[in-house]
Amino acid sequence: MSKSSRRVLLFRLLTLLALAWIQAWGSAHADPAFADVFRDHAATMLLVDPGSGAIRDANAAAVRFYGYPRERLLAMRIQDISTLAPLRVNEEMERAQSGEREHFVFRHRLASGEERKVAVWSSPLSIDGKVQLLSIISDLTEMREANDPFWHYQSGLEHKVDLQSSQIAAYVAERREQDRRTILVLFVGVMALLFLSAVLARDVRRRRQAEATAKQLLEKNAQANGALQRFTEVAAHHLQEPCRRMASYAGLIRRRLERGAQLAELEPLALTLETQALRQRTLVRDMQLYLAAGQASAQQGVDDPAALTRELFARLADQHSQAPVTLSVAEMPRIPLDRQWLSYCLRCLFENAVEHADPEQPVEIRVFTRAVGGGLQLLITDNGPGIPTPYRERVFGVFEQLSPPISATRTGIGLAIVRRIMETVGGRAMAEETPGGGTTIVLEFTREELAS
Amino acid sequence: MIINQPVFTVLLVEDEIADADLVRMAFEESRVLVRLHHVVDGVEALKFLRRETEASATAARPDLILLDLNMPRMNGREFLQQVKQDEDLRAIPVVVLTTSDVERDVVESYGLGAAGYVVKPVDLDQLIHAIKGMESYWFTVVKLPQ
Repeated sequence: MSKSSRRVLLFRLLTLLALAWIQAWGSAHADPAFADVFRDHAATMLLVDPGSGAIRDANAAAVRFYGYPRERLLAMRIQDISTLAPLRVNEEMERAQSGEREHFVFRHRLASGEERKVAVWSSPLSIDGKVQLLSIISDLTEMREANDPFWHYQSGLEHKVDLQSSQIAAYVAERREQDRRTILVLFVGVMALLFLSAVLARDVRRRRQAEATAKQLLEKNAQANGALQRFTEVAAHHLQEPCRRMASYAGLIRRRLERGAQLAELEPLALTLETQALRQRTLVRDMQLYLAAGQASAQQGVDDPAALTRELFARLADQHSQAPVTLSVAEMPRIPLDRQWLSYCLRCLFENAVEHADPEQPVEIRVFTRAVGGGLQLLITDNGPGIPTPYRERVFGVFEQLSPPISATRTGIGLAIVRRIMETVGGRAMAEETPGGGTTIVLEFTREELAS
Repeated sequence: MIINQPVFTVLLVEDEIADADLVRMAFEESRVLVRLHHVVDGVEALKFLRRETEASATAARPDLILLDLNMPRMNGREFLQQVKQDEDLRAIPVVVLTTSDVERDVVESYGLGAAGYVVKPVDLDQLIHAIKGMESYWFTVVKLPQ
């Protein structure tokens, strides 16, 4: 047996004797004697609460060994000293308390930061009715320093285990660092992909919107071109008619003159010639207006439409029918249509109301506004014969009339111009029945027009 | 002097009074003896044909209809469609008499059942000539339904 082994055996014997003596002495004597022994014994001893690991007492040898001031040591838990994980320490304390195991080997951390391998003999003791673990700690480090082949071999193994453990820990730490970097790179990659996807989705959405807008513009353009094409054809047809009539009536006058017709016989024919010339001029003027309505603007707007309405009505007073015509105008907000075009719309609608009115009945015209769905409607109502339902949309067509032309200045383009003006500025024009009878023309301006 | 010439009835559907007068005068100038009834649009024409007006209650059924295309309320195309869908009226020949020489109007009119398409001449002599031509074809050559 080597010298070191003998010292271990001797230490164990001493410890067992101390424990036996403490137990025998403790059962035969009062606590103060145990306290004296505990305090003065050369072996390093701790009293530990098995439940929490709190160090309840430490003898002078323990204070010297661990290097902490006594008060500080008593404020610590065994988990603070042991390098084992706290859960593992708890498990070992349970084993010691149950008597399953009484000898342990730990690494304890000293106040200096140094770690020592220690053998711990731990047994449960009932002190003041409470079970505590009496732990006797023996420093194995010093024993190992002896030149004992067994401990040299043991220390070598432990050194290798420690080295491999540290290598494994370093490897694990490195892998964790690599994993962290990989996760970071993946996260950045995923975020970049999400960002690119969002950008692509936005671009696709914008492109689709642009395509839809372009398609709408093309369709609108095609519709406008189609409308202009139809207008050109119809306009050409209507412009020919007065010319043809003038030529025909001129031929008729010539034939009558050749037969020696009197002036009275020729006068109605000459009047027709004049009428057709006037019709021609009016047609050209209205066609120019229709084309110009495609450039209508809402940039200026009319701040006081009620005043403009009264002014236009006063100018038309001379053209009123035989029956009295009265105008009722409400106070109205700003109308988002340039004065020139609003004037045309009001003048045209006044003329229509008067022209189609019953000559025997007083004509009542009302002009007011109403808010609809965030937009604004300007309403011009009359108490005339009204427009039958099938014709309410049709009357807005070019050259569409509800009755044969009774004067040379009626071309059937007026309402078409009104609608073209409204559509050009983004609004619309429509006809309704006036409650109680008559026609109501509605000029509707959208919320966007009002905001512009 | 025209004696014992059969008297035919013509319904002129024309919104423009000056044109209606021209046609009437052209009939007179061409010495074609017809009973000429004039209405101003398709609605009035249908009422006349269906004897729903005072003037048509005792009038003879038209042998020929001269039809303008562009008119208020019911235009010539709509009128033509209505007439050709009416069992009692579809046999009456309808000749379109219009200023339009647009091919689409010509094709559409024949498609709707027009018996002829005449572009209103600019010159009165040509109108008289056209009236005479219609008279010789429809009232002499062609056998019309009684």
